[in-house]
Amino acid sequence: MTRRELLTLGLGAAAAVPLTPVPWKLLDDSSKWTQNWNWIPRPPRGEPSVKYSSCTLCSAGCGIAARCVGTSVIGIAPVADHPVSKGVLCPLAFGAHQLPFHPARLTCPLRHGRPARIEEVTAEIAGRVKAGRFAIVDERPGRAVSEAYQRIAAANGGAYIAPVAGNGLPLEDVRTIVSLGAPVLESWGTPGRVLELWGSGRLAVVQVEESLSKTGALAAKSLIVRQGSGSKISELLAGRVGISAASEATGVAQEKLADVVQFVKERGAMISVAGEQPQIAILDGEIDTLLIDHGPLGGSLSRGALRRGGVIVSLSPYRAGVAAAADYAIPTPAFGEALEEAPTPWDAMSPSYALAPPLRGAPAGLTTPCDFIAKVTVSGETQESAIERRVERLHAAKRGVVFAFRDRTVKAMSEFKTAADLRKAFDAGACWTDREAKETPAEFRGARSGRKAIDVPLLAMLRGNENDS
Amino acid sequence: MRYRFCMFFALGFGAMLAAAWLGFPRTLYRTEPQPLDFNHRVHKEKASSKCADCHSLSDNGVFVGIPSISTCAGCHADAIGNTAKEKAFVTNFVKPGREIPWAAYGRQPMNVRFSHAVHLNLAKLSCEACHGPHGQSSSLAAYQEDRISGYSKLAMTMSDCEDCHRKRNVEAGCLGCHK
Repeated sequence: MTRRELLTLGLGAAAAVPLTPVPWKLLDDSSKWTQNWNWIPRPPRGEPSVKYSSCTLCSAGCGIAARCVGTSVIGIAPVADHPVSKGVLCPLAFGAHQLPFHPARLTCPLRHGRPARIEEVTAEIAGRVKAGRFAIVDERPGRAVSEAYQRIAAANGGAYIAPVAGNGLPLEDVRTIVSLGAPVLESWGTPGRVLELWGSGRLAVVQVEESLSKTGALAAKSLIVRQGSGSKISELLAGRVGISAASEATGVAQEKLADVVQFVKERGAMISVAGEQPQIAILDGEIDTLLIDHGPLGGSLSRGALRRGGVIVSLSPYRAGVAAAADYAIPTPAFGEALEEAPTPWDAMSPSYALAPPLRGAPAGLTTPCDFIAKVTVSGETQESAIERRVERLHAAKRGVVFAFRDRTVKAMSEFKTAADLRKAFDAGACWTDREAKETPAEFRGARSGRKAIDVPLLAMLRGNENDS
Repeated sequence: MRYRFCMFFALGFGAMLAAAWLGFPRTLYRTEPQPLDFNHRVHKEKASSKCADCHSLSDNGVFVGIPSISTCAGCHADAIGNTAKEKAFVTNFVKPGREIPWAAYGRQPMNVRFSHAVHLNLAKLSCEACHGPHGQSSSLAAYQEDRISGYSKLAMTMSDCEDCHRKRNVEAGCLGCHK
């Protein structure tokens, strides 16, 4: 064969290539190959099962059905007919099973930002607690653990500090919400309750904000106002200022303001809500050690006035917010890694309570905030004993009903023969409600809390005494 | 001269076509036998099993896929018959509760979701509409895996889904299937 013949043979072969599956299949396969790098984590394969629990990222305590394969959670869905969340979840709850893998996850205790041994930091903190005055900051009041914190503080001369608990909002009687920047249709109050009222047309939203949000896009009326001028709209609707003054202050055209005034007037039954985060009560500045239970979402506290010689011990799953700059950051279980509680939502009009059984195991060596605080204060309290007490109290009161998530059945409390039976129901996924109660007992009330991602400042602002700052 | 050119050109052309259409698939796919020989026909005819008896939808609509060993143990707690394969199955998998490492023919990529519940309950499709006469087979075909993409040769492709949806005039959009 000559060189010319060989080239001709190659030419013929090359001409045939487009008529074969080779280039097209290789192109297709290489695109799939690049989507499946071997270092990309994959959920395990296997027969799926469902675990029921409650979301504890905010006080709404929505019911969740977690789809699991083995010990891994691979998806979260709402629980239909749930008496509190009404089969609705906020976007964060849908992805909550991914939070334990957040890059800001605290993997070991930190002392002034540097890794330390848990035994050493526990001993140091216990020494400080013993020597000086301490306070426990509870970002999620209304839990059995909150009561345990109060007992620990009272027994050891410490202080218990929590955001102001909610008294409930009679949203069913409201026709219009004038929201000054509150994310009413995204993650505000109990999403299921708010969205059900809004979706049925019984509740209209007038959103007043400085830049358009998702709530603003969905609201019946949306006003974009100048920075810091939102309150003028409230004053306008209350009749304290005129349209021209409000227009001048907010930068919104008079015709548009007149339209909103007319809209609110026609619908009536208006409440005005603001979007700022709740604030934790003022510290007196004489606290030597501040033990902060941020909860499974982590928290963000402004430490400003706290630097008076005292130390901050941040109990958080994440190195974010205060935990990133605290004197001590103690890693705690993230969402779904330990038993949690879902107290009464801050906007609810009647009491409710649920346990949030763990969905997956916590990394070795982590303790719950309650158990850590009990340890450093040398207290006999534990999270388990606190919860047990509350369950016994609920059972003894014989009030309300228990909704089981799995089969969506409702049982009267009197049907549970023992507190252990009630606990068993809670551990399988259940929610207690007492619709006939005229008011929510103080110890059950949750506080308003943010539910944004952990890298966004939220939840609470810890303020020093304004006179001191 | 021209004749020789045409001959070698045709030879190269034909050789490439033959190699690519016949040899390429054999090279591309890795063939692997299933860990056990499963006879769908026997289960259907002798045990009167239906597809959904083993490949069921759970209460919440999630398709359980290939059943776990506990489902097999429901009937095969002890060996049925005297065949060596049956005895090995009971000894190696049922008794120790070890899951059978089946290679699933239809497994989809991670960026795709497919709801069996929607296709069975809403579209009223039969299992055979997508899986063919798999339930009638008396032995399992060897599993063929694409060496590059890692996917099964028999997995449904996007064009399969699109064709069916087009025929039935059902719109699904990108996010209907892709996460």
